[in-house]
Amino acid sequence: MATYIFRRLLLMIPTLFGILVLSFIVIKSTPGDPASGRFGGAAAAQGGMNAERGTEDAEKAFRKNFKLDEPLYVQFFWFVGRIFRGEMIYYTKQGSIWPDLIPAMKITLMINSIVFLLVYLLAIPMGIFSATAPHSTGDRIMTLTLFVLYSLPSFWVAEMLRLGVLESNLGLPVSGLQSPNADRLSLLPWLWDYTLHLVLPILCMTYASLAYISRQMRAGMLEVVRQDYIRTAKAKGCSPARVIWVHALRNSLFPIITLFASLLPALIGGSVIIEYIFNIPGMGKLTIDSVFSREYDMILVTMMLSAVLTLLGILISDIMYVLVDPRVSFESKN
Amino acid sequence: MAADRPLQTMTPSSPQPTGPAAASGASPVAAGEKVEASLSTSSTPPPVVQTSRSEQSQAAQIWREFKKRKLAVCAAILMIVEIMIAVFAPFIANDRPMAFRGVNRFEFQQLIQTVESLVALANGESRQEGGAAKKVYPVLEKAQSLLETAAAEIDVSTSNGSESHQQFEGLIQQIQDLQKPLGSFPDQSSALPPELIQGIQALLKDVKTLKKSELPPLLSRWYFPALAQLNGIDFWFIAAAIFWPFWWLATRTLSFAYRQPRWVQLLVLAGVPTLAAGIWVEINPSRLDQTNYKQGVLTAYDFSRTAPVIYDVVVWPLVPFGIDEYDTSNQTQPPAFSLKEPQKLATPWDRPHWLGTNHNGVDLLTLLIWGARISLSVGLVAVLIYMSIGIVLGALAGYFRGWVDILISRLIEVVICFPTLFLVLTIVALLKPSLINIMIVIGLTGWTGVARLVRSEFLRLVNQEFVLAGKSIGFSSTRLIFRHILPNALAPVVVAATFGIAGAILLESSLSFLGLGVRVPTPSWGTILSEGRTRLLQAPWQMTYPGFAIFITVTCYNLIGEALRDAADPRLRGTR
Repeated sequence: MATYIFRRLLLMIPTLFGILVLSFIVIKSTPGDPASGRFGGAAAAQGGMNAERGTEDAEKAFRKNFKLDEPLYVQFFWFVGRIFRGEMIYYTKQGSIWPDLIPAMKITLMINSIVFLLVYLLAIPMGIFSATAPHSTGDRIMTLTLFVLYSLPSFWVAEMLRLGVLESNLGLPVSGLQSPNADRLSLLPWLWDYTLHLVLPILCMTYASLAYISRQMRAGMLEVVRQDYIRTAKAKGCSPARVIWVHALRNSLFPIITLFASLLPALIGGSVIIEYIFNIPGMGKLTIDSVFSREYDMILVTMMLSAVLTLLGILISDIMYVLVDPRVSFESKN
Repeated sequence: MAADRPLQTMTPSSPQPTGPAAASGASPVAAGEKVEASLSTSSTPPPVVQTSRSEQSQAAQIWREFKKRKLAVCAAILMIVEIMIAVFAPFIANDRPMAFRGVNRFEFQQLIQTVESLVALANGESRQEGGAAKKVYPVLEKAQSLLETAAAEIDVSTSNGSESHQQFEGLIQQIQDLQKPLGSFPDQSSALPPELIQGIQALLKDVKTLKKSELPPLLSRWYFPALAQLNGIDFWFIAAAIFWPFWWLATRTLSFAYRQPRWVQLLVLAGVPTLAAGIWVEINPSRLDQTNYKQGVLTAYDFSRTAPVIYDVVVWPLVPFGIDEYDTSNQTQPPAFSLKEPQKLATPWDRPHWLGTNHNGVDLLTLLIWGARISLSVGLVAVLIYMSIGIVLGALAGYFRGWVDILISRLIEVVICFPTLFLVLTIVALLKPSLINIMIVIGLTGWTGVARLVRSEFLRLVNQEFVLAGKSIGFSSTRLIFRHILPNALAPVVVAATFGIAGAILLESSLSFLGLGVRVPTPSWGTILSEGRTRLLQAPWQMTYPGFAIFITVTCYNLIGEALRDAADPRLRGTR
């Protein structure tokens, strides 16, 4: 087990390097750079008189300082070095990005974990229900509903929910993570306030993944229920509950475990738009803000972080796969 | 479920479904390896039912299975209707008539104005030293031809008209008199003689009086403003939409059509619309039609004689509004059917705004119909781009294996780690948000899924007899890949493409929603949403309907994709 994980971690190194290179290429292949953002156009105009005196020298010094005129490979290795030293900064205000990034990451990770938990906790019973009564009315309705849910654009749903909540005076907050007076509340009301704020965003992020996963769960369950060993189990007199929960469930979990890896990037990507709509200070919103204000370091770091998270997700799903399915051993993965 | 059984036995010597491996891949590369492994262990049993398979092509089989799903067929029909609406948008929602018989005074006035500015230009040029004759001559020629066009429009049956016609004839004669000495002007470099300069000056004066004088009665004729507005690309699609069904019918009924080899058929399918569009661009010079057709009146009501257009007969489109038509008297109007009293119409030609208007008074239904062009074409083009990338890379990896495979698989693994929306958002924002950029970026980031599919299909197929046979005859790799293996690997790719279109439409609308969208000249559905977002409470209909359009489109594509997948290969059921 340990050697397997170790080997997988080693294998991650080239991928990580690829992620670094790709992020770097993406940033470098687009027109403009931090210097032109800081000294060109609008920034210079804002600087007014001061800019006129010393812009050129300042820009030169800036470019020299951040090695913007060096050849690309020098820039790349310098950039890699800065990442390992954690020296990522805001170019406009010359401050570190970490004080903004780390809380944002915490929020996004927290929301996404809740969503994950909800998705899997709901999807498994739904899949089981479908498989125990396939093609019944309930199953048909659920399948259709899930299909429709799957096709609903989440940003539209989010806006419609906001509209609905605002018009029906439900008292649910539709923006932000906390009420303005949250820091004066004691623990329990604070928690309640926080939860209320999370209801809509989590609802919006959950339904699409739920639709997807539970459809897969249903398909996997139906596949398993048709197998011979299930018939055998029934024949030897197992109760229906035991057949489903003991014999069928474990084998039907494989497809949705593998999906864990592909769900992760979708969720992180999806949280961009939901955080934007509900004005949640998470990583997604940070990314959009930094994209619009062209904070190159922030863009790079958020992009890479999301990629690395996905990579970890893939690793976890592979490990879980091995744990659930004894037929796949660590060695045979070679 | 029982219906799938015969098909499964018929699928060409495929490995038996192997539980988790047949379900969508775990980590990107693992899926393919598992399929490969299962191939080597189970030496594929021969298909049981051979007879019916040899009678039908794979496409026909898929189509037969597809037809059994009523919901998917409905979705397909709905999508065809939607695509048709998008293609024929200029004839469905437009602020100019499809056809009218009558008089376009505005255009006549514009013609005379152009003549005036041309003569004024000639007047200026004639005073220049050197080469004046060479410059003045073509300008006068142009003015003359415009005057002739205008003179032909005049109705000479009335006394007023014939009088005015004579005035035009006089002017044309005047120009011809000037052109004779100009054309045979001996020395091109010296200045013009004073009598010629005076002649041009006199001409300018006469044209100015003509412009000020009352408009002569004009001849009625047929105009087709909506048609004249089409550019080459619009016309290509319209020609294709009309021609393709006919050709399809021809291939079903006429022997000369279906006997043609496939490449001739493709050539005809692509060539005829292209030819039509080329001819169209040639005979229909693009010009800006600034006529305000909404201010036009019927002949019987033409009292003040100031209306720009007079209609004897007029046919308006179903939705008589333009995408850049600002109905200032109806800004932020709710949908017409939700109103108790009818909307006030700005002109007699207007109809109620069935889906309401936005803050500028632009009709929302018109925006939706025209926005469909953007949204649907983004989906189509982006998917075309990433299909080509994915097919080529996947085929290379699956066919050559070895270090090519390792390299491409690593690349797939790296790209797959980036959340698509993150990546696309960043690139599009750092580049300039435009339609082309969005299409290309979605195309460049979305190819991994297709590449994985094609790779695993190639891994499966590359050791089969027909490929080995081809190799032993000495076919080139290119030929083997594209003519022999790829057609066999295409079914899952087509399925992926259908889901891909849905995904691309969603992605584009998300981008537009975030404010990185296409705005000029036509807003996409996502852009309408992002504009509606700021007025959510005042004008909720700006959010509801475009979102609904996206939802319906995505659902339909998903339904079609799902049915296609089940029809193509029941093993893939439940996967994407």
